[in-house]
Amino acid sequence: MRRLAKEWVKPAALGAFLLACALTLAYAESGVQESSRVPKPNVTAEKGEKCVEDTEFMRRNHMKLLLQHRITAVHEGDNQKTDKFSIVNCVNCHASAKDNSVAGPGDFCQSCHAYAAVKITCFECHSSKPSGPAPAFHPVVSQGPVDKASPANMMRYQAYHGRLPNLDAGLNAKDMAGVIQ
Amino acid sequence: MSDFDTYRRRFMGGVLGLAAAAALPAGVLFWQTAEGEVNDGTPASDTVRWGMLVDTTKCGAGCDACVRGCNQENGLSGDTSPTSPQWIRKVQVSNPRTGNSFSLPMMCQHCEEPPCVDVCPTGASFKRADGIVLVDRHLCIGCRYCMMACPYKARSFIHQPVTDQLAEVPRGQGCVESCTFCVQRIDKGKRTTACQDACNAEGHQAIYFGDLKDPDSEISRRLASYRSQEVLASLNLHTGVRYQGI
Repeated sequence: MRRLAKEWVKPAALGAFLLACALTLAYAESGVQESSRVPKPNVTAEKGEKCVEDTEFMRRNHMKLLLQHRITAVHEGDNQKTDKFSIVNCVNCHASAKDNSVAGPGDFCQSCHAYAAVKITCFECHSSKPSGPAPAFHPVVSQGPVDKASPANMMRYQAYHGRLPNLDAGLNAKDMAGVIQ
Repeated sequence: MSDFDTYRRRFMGGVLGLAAAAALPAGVLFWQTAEGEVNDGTPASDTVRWGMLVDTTKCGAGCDACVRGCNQENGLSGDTSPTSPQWIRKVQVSNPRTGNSFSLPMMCQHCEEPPCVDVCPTGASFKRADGIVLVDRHLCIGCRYCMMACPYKARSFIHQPVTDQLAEVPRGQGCVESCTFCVQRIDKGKRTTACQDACNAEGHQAIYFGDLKDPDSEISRRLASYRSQEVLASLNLHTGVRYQGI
């Protein structure tokens, strides 16, 4: 009898553990869905058609690019190699129309850093105000209106979504949002 | 999104990035600055060594044009209190026995063997390949060892929070700073410093700035023709700033 009980307890305990895990995951997933209590950061760029790299890439990696530029600019004295990643360039495009800054309440840098609870110390030394107009043109930005159905965008679309769009049904703005920033 | 999708996106992104770079004409790769001018400065290289010659016989007593030019270029307040940052100090030197007196600007001497770099515990104080001695404010912890080590009293500590900095010259509380030979100008390809321009505008022409390694530069020709001295030459620091007529 004791032996029987042992054999029954083990799988039951495992089952209960797995159920608890699944419930925890489900709860966490639902928590992600309802994050409206925290105000979303203001991430609109005031000037320029497009950032120096993809928006998603910049969100995750802007600090690495700034770190790289700090080494090339300060220690190597090279203004050309990574100049598009300089903090001056960031500020020139992203300063808000409201207070002409990126570091005031609700401004581009400050609002996102407040959302992510990361202290932003750049502007204790660096100017948070633009030093000139936004760059006249950008090397990777097309000059004319964006042709959504261009071959390059079709390749990007396939890379992003894993399939080609159904052009007969028209290009969905939501689907294209990830492809053309 | 599966790992495979992530991988595929990364790979395609790389391929497209390469294709885009290959399609760009070379001229477009140069980044245009906000002012619409192309940065044509070359990276700091040890084929040049920036230096300065101050002709104290032309330096006007009581004139502080170089100090004002420096303050304007680098966004300094111009205060001369003991705790205010000063990159150039105008010094009046006099011999009490003979009564002879002259003035000179004293700033970071951009030593070849800088003591400030030797003592810096974080590597913030460093000498660039082209001989300019700088503080990397990202690394500076404000310990002020370099200020103790500098025999020229050239460095200042920023005690108060700074606002409205110039975009080209970031500076803030808690860091040590000193003359940078207007590094923001040099990296843009300009070949004069703000103090030199201000001195020339005043009509004194007492400051010459240039490449010590180029035998044809004006500073090299002047150093070859006239007798000049380093301040505290006995320390063997081989300064980049030299004085004529002291």
